[in-house]
Amino acid sequence: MTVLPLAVLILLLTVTVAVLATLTGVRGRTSVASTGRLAAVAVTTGRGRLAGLLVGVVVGVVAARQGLLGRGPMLAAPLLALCVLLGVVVGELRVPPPQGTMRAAGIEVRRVSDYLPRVLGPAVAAGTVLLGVLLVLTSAWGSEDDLGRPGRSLARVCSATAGEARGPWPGSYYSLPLAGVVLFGLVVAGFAVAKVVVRPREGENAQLDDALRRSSVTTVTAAVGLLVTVPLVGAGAFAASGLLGICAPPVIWSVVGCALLVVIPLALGLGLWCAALLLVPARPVPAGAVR
Amino acid sequence: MTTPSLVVDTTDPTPPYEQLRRQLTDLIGGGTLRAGARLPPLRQLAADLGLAVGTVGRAYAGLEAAGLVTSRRGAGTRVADVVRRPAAELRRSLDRHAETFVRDARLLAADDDEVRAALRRALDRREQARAT
Repeated sequence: MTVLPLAVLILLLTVTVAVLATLTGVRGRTSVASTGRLAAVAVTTGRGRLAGLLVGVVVGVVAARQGLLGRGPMLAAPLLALCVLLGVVVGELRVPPPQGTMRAAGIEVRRVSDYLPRVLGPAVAAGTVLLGVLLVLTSAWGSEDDLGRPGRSLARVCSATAGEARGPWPGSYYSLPLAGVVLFGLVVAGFAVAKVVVRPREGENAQLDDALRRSSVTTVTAAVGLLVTVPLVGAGAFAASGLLGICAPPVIWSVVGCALLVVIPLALGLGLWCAALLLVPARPVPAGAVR
Repeated sequence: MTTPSLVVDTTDPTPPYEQLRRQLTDLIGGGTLRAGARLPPLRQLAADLGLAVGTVGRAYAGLEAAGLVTSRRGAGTRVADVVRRPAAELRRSLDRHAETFVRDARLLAADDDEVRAALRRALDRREQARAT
């Protein structure tokens, strides 16, 4: 049960980052109106996000306690992120369409890129690509374990008379279910962002309306960050251990193993940042405060 | 420069797609929307106005058939390179619409003051809708 202390450590780190972010005012600059239809939209979408987060925590805890040979803990964080994404989608779908007999709309083109966080977005995209590359490599290099489960160990012939197998290895036994959850999560994230951008424009204050959209897209980006960085850290740690610890590794294994030693702390930092963004919601500011 | 806007009156007997088509035709013909300007995506405009996507699509199709816009997959719908409507033609068009309005008002037995008041109310409603 080495997972529990690690989970507690990560939770403590996340809460610390979240508290520091709140105290230093890093979060809360995205404001929402305190009155009017925009406030109703903020409440509706905020409730969706919060519900997704709460359900996600429950699903994550249940998943962490189940699943064979570590598959459950591996999927806990991605499932939590998936629930947050679904919560965002539900919140957006519950925003009522424009009512009234006279309806107006500006001739403007809203793009996803207008609302993506400038640093977090590319960082999460890079983490997604790295996870994809890592899972392809570990799946390709994996071997059967002693009970014949495919892709659960890393095997190497060390000499004419000796060989070595190291595990658990994040090969196809782990990478296939993980890839399924991550891919589904990315599809849901794409749908969620599309819904945020297309959501009816609330004309009472375009700046606040944009701020609210930016906040929602940041939540989606952070959820995707959690979706990919936690598996990247976990799979990367086991892969680095296998690649660098096995006898007579090929050069490419050593190169990838050393690269992972750089990637893992970066991914851990990104994951903590994303978790803090999910835990600390944007602080509402009266409508008159932002012009 | 303020963003031009579109207004749909759901109580108007004119179908919403036709209201949109007319307003966009005027904006393009009057030069407010210049050649190459991108129109909002169908889903976005439909959501903003609380209309079906097909309704906005029908308005765009009408504009495309008239050669006012071009639609390309991935590039969206853009204003075509059309010649701006001359001022004299704009005046003739407005006069034609006004004649129709006055004729309909007379059929309803409205006098000149009521016609002017109705026109003012319509302008005020449009201004209010743009402001909100």
